[in-house]
Amino acid sequence: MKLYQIIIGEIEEPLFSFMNNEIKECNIESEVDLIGNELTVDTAEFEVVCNDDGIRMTPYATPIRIFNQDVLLGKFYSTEIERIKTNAYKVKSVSAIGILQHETFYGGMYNGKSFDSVMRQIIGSNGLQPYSGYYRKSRMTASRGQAHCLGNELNSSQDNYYPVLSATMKSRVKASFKIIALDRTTLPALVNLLAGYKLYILGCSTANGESDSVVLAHRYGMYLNVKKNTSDTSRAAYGQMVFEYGNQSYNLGIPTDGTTYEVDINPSAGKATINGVDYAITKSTSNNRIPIHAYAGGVQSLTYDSTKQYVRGNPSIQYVEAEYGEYKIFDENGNLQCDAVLVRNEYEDGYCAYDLTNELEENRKNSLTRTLEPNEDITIADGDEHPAFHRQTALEEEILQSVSFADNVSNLNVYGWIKICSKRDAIQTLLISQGVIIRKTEDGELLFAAPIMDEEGTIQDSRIYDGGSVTYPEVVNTIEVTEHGYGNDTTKAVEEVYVNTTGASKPYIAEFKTLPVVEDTLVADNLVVCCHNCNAAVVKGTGKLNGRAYEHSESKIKRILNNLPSGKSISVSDATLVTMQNSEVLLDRLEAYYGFASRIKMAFVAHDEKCGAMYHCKNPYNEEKSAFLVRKTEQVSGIIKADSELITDYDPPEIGEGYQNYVILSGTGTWETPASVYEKEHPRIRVILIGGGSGGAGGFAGEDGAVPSGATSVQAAKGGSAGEGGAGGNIFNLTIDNPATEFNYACGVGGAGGDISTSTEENNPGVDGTDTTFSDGSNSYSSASGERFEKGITNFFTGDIYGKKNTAEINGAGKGGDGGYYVVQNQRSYYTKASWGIGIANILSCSGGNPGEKHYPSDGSPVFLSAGAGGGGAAGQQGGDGTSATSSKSGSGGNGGNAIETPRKATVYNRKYYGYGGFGGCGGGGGGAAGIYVTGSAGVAGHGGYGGHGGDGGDGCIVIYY
Amino acid sequence: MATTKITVDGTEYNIRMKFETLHRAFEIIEGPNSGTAINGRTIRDIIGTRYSYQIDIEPDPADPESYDAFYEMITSPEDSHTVSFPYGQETITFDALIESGNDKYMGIVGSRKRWSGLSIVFKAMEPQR
Repeated sequence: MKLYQIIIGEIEEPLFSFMNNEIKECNIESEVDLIGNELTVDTAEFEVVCNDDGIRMTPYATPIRIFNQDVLLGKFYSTEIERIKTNAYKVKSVSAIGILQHETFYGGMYNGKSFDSVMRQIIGSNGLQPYSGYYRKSRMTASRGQAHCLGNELNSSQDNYYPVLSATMKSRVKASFKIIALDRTTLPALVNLLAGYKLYILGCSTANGESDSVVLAHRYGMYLNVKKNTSDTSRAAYGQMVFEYGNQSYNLGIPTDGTTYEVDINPSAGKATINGVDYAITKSTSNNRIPIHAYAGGVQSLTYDSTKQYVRGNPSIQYVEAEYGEYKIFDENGNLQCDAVLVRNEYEDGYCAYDLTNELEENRKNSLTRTLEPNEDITIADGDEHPAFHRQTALEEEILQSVSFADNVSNLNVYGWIKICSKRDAIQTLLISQGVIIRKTEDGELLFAAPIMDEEGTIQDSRIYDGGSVTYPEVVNTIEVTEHGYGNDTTKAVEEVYVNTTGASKPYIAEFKTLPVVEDTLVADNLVVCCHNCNAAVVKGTGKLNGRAYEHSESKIKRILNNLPSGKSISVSDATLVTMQNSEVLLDRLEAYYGFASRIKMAFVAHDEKCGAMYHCKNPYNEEKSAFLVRKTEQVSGIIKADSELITDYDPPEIGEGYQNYVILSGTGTWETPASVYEKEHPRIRVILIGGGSGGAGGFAGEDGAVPSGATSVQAAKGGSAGEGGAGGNIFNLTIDNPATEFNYACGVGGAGGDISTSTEENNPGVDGTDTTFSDGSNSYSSASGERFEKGITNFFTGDIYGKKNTAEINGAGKGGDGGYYVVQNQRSYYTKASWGIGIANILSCSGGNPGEKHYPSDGSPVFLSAGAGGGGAAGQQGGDGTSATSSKSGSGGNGGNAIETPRKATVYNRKYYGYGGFGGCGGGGGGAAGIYVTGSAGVAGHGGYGGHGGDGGDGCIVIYY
Repeated sequence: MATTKITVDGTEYNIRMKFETLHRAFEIIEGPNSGTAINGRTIRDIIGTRYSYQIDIEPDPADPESYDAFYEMITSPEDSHTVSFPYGQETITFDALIESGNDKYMGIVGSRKRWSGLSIVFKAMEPQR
């Protein structure tokens, strides 16, 4: 008899355990999609005999492990338990992915972050990162238990006091960083506690915002600091790095960038060793309220880097890393406040998390664990419970601790965007973009790995059931992949992305209306922003958020495999982590799969075969094959029969074949293909030829001012509109396989801007730019073969956009000012001043002209003759002033300003604006109206100013990814 | 005819087992995953091995009440009974189900009703191996 076992709960402390005949039926379904097109949920369903009806109370998502003797058939999480007889229950369970699919991930924008970091973020958080600019852009002071935020850029109008929720550093210390989430009560107490306890390298700090220091350790109630001395003005010490211990200090010399300090603290020996030099330290017990456990010691190190920002605040509360265990928490007067348990979780790659639980307050969860990466910033929040903050569940924590990554997967760079979606969808988006699949370890845990082409075992003939079939691939005509780009277009207007008029006193999640948003552009109007990413924010109160949306560009690459009437098309369009960096590798993968792979359907007697692995076997027609096991439905009986599907003839490209580097070529010259290109399985470069942008059209002239008929209203003479921005240069996007070692290139030049115009109806277009060429001597390529894209093309590495149509004038830039004018109502006249002409691309805005003087009759009667109105301003020139009225004539209007300023060439205005269209020329100012009159006659109206030259288009460039 | 005390569910019955009527049988139980492999080899899905025993019973003329009690026991509507039988040089005890049986009325002898020819199969509830 086979020995089967099902354990519900943890192996060490099972809630229930069932053996052999207690298990009446058990079916397990597992599946892996080799190309990541779907992320399937493995399931296990079984019936057990159980006399303890407490099984019904098994919590949702309790771990379940199913064994066949010593082999783990799968690890699952309970979802449903149904009583089917007096003492029999049906249990349904799913894999970890099945649990995660019900949780929301708020996405993010990624620019080279490692695969494992992104995956951990998806699994263990909701994606809302602390505001990265928090310390750099605000003044932060901290005292025990409170961090006082002043002048936060996101909320300049409010001062808010919060305890520190979490803290970490900007790439300063090699140690991993931890989060302690506390409320108002426990934080000061814990600080007091930890001040007398062991702390390792902790972080950098600027005490009170004055001096930079690196807190190495806290022991025995004293700080152990290395800091840059800026407070001691004596010549000897100033500017040196100083090692402080209690009231002792030692100069370590003037630091230079890259200097590494290695510190080994050894209290029992009464010394600390820094870079091989011993410094005496003495134990103090003044704050030592708890026993000091044995200190393992070990060398800690940090590297000085003057360019990095230091976190500001009191180091005594921000960087803490303590041993886990039970604590008694005292207040600052030494009175016992409560018992607490501090749990510390460490992960292989340096992640760490703490969870402090105050057990005396049962109904109040004042612990909050978050796992942050090194380099993340601090988050603050008030002392209440925050449903808006992601509370890492025990399950997430368990999955986080157990997931593993193949070596060649961990450091894959991730570019692009993840929208707000379920965690399952986010994981699937990540998998398909990188060609990673989910396998299972021997312990049933998630393993992110690439398909491995080596056979991991043999399914012997004697285990393969007679029958089955082979399905050959359907004919595929075309495979198409959409590349996504997310550019930061600085000419694009900031818009309202969130508004709340009702408000809430507690933090809540605000999803942005426009997605995604460039995080650095987010500005809060009255809202308090606790943390955010590009899709959403955790906010409090009433108000709105403004920000600039990313410019989302799409381009498609296609491969034609066949041209048959029955052929189908395969496309991947919604995978927003597919950029130019990885699109071609995805295309290769899809071709390998849809073009060649066959599918075997057969049953075999399962042992320990795992989905995603390759096995040697025979297909139903007795042919030897190497095949990926991709699906199995296991029916447990005396033996396990697995109805399965296996994929043969699938040879995916190596993982990590995407582009890792880029270069931008401008002007003319020769480019040598880097040697690293030829080291890849498929030597290949991606070349984007961007021609010179077209010049912007000239501006329109302003209208002439009006002449009133007596004491009557007139309308303003409108200022001229800006000319339309120039079109971006042609963009030709090509892939060169097996590239030559050398290429000659010549980048196009931006076209000249359009001429001035004295017409309000017609203006002068700009000139097209010239083409960009690229040649290896045998093959020549030109941007002329491409086309224009209004949104241009995005450099996925940097977010810069090239070859974009210039749309600056859409936002109102470049318009000429309206001329001044009069409105007459109820025998009174009202004057509207001439308005400013607006500049474009940083050229000068100028005011409208002033009116002249009114005429006052000498007999003291009411004014009969008004002054001439001022002309509207224009870029570079003010509107003319109106003249004064005389005894017989009203004043004449001033002329509108001429747009004498020409916008700068796009690539001069911003050197990254390669291939941009030129800025449109500015409009002329409207002429000022003549003054109104009751007697006499009208003066002369002002003439409209002429529209100015358009700006020259940006020069072209070549972007090469390799 | 041998007089044998038979123990069922812990109760000893004074009845006679007919000589040489104890039959032992076994069954190797196959599950739903049995089949044939592509190389022609049989794939067996062995759930386990089950033993069953068949015996013929006669009442002890001196103690017909014990036979009657035994009959009441084996015909009771219960799932199973715990029985013990010889197994090799040892004894095997298992939960057995009894599906049917019959005996014959032999008339009244000495003011006692006589029954004869009771044959019973004790089938194991579950595989013993």
